[in-house]
Amino acid sequence: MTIEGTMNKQEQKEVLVEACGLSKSYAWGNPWLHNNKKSQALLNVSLKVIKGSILAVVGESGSGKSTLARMLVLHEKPDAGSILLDGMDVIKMLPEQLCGFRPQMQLMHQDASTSFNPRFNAVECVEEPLLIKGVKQIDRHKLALESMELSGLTGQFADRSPLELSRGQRQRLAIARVLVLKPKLIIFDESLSGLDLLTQSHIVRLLLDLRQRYDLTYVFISHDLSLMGDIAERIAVMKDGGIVEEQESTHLFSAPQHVETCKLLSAVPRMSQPREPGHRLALQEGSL
Amino acid sequence: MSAEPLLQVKDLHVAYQPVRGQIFPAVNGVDFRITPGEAVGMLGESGSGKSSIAAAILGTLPKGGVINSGSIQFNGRELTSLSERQLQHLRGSEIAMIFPEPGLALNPVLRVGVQISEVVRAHRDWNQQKCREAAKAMLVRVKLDDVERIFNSYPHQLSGGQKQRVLIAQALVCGPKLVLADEPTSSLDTTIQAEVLTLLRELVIEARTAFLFITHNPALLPGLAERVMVMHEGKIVESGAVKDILFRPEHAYTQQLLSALPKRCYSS
Repeated sequence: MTIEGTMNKQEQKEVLVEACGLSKSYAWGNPWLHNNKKSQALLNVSLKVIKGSILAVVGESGSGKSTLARMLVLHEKPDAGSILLDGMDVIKMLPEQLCGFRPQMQLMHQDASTSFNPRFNAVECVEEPLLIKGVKQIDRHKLALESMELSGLTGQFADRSPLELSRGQRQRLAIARVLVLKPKLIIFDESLSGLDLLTQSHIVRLLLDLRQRYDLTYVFISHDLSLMGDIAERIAVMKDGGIVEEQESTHLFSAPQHVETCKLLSAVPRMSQPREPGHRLALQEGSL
Repeated sequence: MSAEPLLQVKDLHVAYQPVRGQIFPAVNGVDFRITPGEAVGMLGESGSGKSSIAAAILGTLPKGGVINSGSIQFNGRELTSLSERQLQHLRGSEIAMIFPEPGLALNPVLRVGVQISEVVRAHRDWNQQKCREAAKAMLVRVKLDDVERIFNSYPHQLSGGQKQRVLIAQALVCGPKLVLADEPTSSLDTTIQAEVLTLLRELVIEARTAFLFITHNPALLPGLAERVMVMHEGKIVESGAVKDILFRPEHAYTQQLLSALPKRCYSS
């Protein structure tokens, strides 16, 4: 009994976010013409995010991944279900109480360019969340520059407009803006998919490095199963608003259970040509 | 390889001159040739000049972009010296382009059927009815279900994959000799990407149309292209058969690009 009790306690400690039975539907159509319709974006989704781990949520467009991301960072309230952050139910909290929690869970979007104010320069963009938090101006500037440095943008970028930056640099600026709040959980909603391969691998390396240093927890939302296989420890596959399979990433690739997973796996572009096995051999010796 | 090239690009230099500021050279001396029916891939990161080459071939460089020197010969004709009117005859009928963002390439206020049939009308002396039939036949060939509905839809009523298929139909409807595809799948998710690539393979490669496939992802090339050119900072740094370049890269940049690929792309 006592052993079980302590084990439960340990488990609770490790889980950072726990979502139980989340459901959400959006209404559309014209209610005056009595053709109001509902589309179910999420249906009874349960998910656990272990502290310090990397979880990937993979699915086709329209499977409800982004809705789930918005729920987890409390941008939207679910119709049913609960979200526990560090063991506390954040759905039932009042907005004033939530203010303390919001900085801990941050969301990053696919194209950072649309989320920057074009009238701000780079450092002002990073400062803005601190302004909302109520940090003094002198500290704000210093913290923002530090955060930019961490994400690989030197001081010379401080006065540039976010629109002048390349896509990779903008993604770094968005990372700086998220880091400045010292979050526990960062959710990346397709943040890697608009980038080309080299930039993508640089950003991934940066994120993995930051995670090591600051003990961050990541949730990646993506449609690219091959990329997630390299990054994530656990992968959840979504289809039509529900999680159909959740497994360790190595298991998922070796023994996919659900049809949807197989479909996503078969869409991964393959380099090796089955007709010529010699090339695969050469590759293993060479570039890997 | 036949001796007569369909497209021959010699020592091409393209630069952008902004209203203020310095000239930015995008393409610095590129030579390549495409023979009829050959499928060629062009690999490079964003900013390496690959889209500028496609735009230079079509004569559609954006404002400020100029071809400083070099020649582009298509079917024995020098494209750089053609007038705008002569180029218009070529575009769509002999050289066609598939654009990266189908949402931006289609006109939002015209039904997609009209947009495909107007390509036919511009190049053929057919009446409206015949053009529409050609457009519908093309929609069937790009494997869209419910052709009647899609023909009469506006772009915003279609999904990304459907829009990309419409763009492919638009490019192929006049039976061009050369198809340029600039990152045709970069805005699609992986499952739809695989479907669109299979479609391109069937329509273009198997029909033996010359094909230039521009991409940043080397994993998409096997099966789509026979030869690949790797671009870096406006130059072709390496070129050769796809299987040689992808599995035995020689240039340091190609090696770097390949090492950035997710590992799962290698396993069979």
